[in-house]
Amino acid sequence: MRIRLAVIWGCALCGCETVVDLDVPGGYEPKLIIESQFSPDSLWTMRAGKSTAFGATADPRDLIVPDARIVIFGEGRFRDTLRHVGNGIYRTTNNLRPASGYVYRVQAAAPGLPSAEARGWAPPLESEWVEMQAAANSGSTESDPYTVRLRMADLPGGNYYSLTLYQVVTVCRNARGFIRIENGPGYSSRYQVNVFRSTWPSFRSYVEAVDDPTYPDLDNTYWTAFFSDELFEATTREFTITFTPTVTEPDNQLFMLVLTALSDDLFAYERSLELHDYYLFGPSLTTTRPVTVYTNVAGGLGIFAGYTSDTYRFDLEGNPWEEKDVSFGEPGPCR
Amino acid sequence: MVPAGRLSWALMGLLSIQPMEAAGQSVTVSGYVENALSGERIPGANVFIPEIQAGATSNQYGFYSLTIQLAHIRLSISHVGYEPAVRDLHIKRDTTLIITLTPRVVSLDEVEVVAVKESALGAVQMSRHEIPIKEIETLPVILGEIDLQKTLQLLPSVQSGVEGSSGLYIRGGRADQNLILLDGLPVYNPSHLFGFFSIFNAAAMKRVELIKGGIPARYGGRLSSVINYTMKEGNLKRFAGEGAIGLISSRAMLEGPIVKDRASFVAAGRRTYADQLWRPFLRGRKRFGAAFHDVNFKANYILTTRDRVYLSGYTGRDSFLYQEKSVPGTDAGRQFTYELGWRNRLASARWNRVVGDRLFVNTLVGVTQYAFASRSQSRDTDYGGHLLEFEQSWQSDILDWTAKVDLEYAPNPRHSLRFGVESITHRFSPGSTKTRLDEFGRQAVNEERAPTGILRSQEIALYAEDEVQLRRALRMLAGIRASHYAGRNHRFGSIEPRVGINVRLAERTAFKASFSRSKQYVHLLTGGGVALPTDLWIPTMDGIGPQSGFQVAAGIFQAFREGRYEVTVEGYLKKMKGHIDYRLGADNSRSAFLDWPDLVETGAGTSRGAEVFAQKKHGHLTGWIGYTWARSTRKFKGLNGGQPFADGYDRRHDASIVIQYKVSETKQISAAWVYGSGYPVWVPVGRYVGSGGFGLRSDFRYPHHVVHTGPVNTARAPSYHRLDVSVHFRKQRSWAERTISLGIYNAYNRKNPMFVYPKRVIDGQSLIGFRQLSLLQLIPAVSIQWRF
Repeated sequence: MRIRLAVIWGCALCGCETVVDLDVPGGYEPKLIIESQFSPDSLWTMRAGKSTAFGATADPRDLIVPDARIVIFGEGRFRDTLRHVGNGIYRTTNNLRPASGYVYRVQAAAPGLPSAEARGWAPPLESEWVEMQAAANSGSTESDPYTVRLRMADLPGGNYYSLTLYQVVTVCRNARGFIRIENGPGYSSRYQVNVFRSTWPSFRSYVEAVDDPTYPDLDNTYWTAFFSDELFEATTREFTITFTPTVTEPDNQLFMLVLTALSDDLFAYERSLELHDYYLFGPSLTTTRPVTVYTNVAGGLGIFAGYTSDTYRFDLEGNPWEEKDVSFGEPGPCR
Repeated sequence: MVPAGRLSWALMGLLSIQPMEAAGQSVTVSGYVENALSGERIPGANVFIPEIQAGATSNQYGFYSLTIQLAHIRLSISHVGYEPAVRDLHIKRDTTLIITLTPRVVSLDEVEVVAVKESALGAVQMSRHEIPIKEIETLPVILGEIDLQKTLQLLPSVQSGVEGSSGLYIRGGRADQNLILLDGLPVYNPSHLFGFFSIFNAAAMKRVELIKGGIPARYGGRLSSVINYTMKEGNLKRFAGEGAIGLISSRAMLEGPIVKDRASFVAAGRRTYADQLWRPFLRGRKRFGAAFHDVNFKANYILTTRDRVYLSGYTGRDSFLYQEKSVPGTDAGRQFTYELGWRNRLASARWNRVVGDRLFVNTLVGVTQYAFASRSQSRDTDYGGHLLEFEQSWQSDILDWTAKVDLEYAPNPRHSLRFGVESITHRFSPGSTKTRLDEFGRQAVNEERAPTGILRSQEIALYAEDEVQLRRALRMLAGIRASHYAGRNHRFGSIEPRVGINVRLAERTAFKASFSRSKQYVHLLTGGGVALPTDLWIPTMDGIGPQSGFQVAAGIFQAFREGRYEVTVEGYLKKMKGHIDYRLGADNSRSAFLDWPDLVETGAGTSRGAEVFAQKKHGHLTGWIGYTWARSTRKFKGLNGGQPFADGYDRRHDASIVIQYKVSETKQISAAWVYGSGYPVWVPVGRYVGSGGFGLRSDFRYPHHVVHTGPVNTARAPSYHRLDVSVHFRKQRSWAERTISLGIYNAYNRKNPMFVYPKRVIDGQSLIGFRQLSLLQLIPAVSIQWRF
């Protein structure tokens, strides 16, 4: 009986996925993709690629553009011509870095593709470490044992920010619990996002929710907090976050707090990318509308926009540390 | 607010239209047309006087009234499915006449054919379909479940939306633009099992009527169509009933007299056992179930020859459960539960009264409730063995109180007047959410959100319509509806003219045309490409105005071979504005937990089309062929750069062929073939590899696939077609008639598109093509039914 029922139900209600060809009117003209999310912390670097028709079976390597001419202008003059260093990555030959507060322009051209141009900047950021405190009752489970205070000065105009806390970890979690990664090749430390909490009213868990004052943040818990200056335009504010280390490290507990100022273009790109990913890789592909990722590249696609980060590295006693003192690298398998 | 002066002038103008027949000494014959075997009253029966080529049609409650200047008349009374009747009358004064018709057992009768021809040819109402329930019962259906709503999808310009759905998208309109009435009360969600079945139990229904154009003034509040379901009244003379067992559900119906010839009842119920059938295959970590049940009830009492009261009700409920545990049989480990339920409840009291012999009054009060609730709960234990519990629920509730009075007055056979008033008090509680987060060591979070709170509003409408024979070959139905809506902060008014004409071009040919303007004060906020029970019904409110639109339609009606064949060719143009949609990027599953009113934008739409409907109603072989050419576009400021784009249900070609063949008195074969060109789909046109974020989130080594979308809805999904067949074997037992039905849905196993979407990864490569989800391939069905 069960077999018979299984046959009936199998016929009736099991969905069937098949690959189909769609009649999409009009041809597709490939575009030059330039991507640079630049910051004063890093050398001028950019990736150049090209788009292809959605249904084309191009090898990802075929979408790399190795022969583009990419020129950066900024600070009132020619800055640099970027050189291809492999895999579509172009880098400065003069060890130049972007500077905060300047508008840069990129011109890119590649054989067989329309040329592209974009403007972008890395907004300035002024922030200051105030203090870190360990609560007297740090053994309590009622509240986070560690508190960090930062101060930041918002510049006039609409600005967007993000804040992320990282922990340096040398352990991983498997089915048996947390173990130290020491039996894999290249045992090393890595950054892992550490959840923090804050009652700062501007914080949002998703880029999408910034500028929506009614978006529910259930318990003020953040992996990364995104926020705008809507509530503190052009003023200096101090905000507080609390946290509990996600992992109890065998040795010293090290943390890194990164405050970032995002340009308008980068924020728009991030927001649309979040929605795009939800469309393409989320649970409801069949019912969500397609989302086009934001671009500020005229004649092409991609993003040319900057950000500026202030990074604060500290241990649980509030002492600073430097990255060169820690061995970072690829983590081994979590066995 | 509607200017009172404008309304008065409009009504006066309408009522001053004079029929061609001069006033004189007249008498009235009125009464009811009834089923001789059950006492049920028969709506839509044709009461015709051949001598003057005029007559009346019994109204929804079986009442007719003829006022004439003849002392001696011959009445020809007919209705599809009944033996025609003829009455010779000598009339000296106003007379009440109850006409009984006997259900037909043999086919084809010339008198009936003539009458049927007159009924269809002479009616001003166009774009109207009424399919006898008996005919619907023998059409092939999914899993043997008779579904009235799905039968309507076989008619021209009626789209179903996605595969298997019982939704209706009529003449380019949206699902929320159909006024679905069950015994006069609005139904908000007519679906069971996520739309695979409708809530209307065929065993309890007497009649279903679809009006998709030239909507009369007595109906209002929706832009696209009226779908009017009328429940049986109950057999006044004897107990009768039926029962059926199908693959996934069973149904039963019982009707009979409470007091013979004075009071009767009908009760019907259905229950699916889909959830029980799944159970053997879901052992272990997962539980899954979907089920529904519904109950219809109606009772009536004949107080006097002029008064009759009815009580009717419906309640139906759906439930869905999905549960997954990482460690079966315990509460340890991860556990996820999702529950969804929705229900419709309707109750009404109706009083029919005949005042004098010419005025029929129908008074109705009723209540409609629709509610859904969903709950998701996840439980997990953290690495310290502590419990982490997260629960989120979402619910929506609508409560409507309806009161209306309809009056019908027929001063003479060439002139019929209807007028009335309707009031609906809405109480909407859309999209309220509750969230609970309970994590060890943290203060529990409990949050309730209701972005709009409870929204109360009031709709009032006055209408008047007059069907008048202006010339021997010209009839007109002129009506006007004045509606007023009062919400929390807003008031809206509307004057809605409705006009239809019938020009008799030849003995068997009529030209019909209509114009109707409508206003709609409720919206259905749908998140994606498929209607779900969790779509939000919301009233007109701050930032969301009413929908409005008009439709112009014209067509030719032609009867052939004494009415055995009918062909209708119609064209229409419909303009709509004010309908709502989520802004780009929003989707219904997440937006419920945001302030969804801020995510809504309004747009406009245009649809046009041409339909051909050829029908054979009589004989051993009956059926119809329908074809529609249509184009439907939408325009939203925030979509497609503000440019018009194809509506999601824009289907250029749509065809259906329905055949029913009576092999013998005990055997019948039915087949239905449908074809539809592909629905528009909005899909990516290009792709590239990008980086996935800034700072530490960005890493050129790990490519992030980005798609580049083109204009909205420019691609087309593959076409849709399928063939359904069924065969029915009847046998008269000593106590009942037994029917065994065998059927096949999608007989040639066509893989029709339900959704088309980008495929994420195939053969190790990402985003290189499209994938289609097909549901409901070849499905055999068997059911057995007893009727006594």
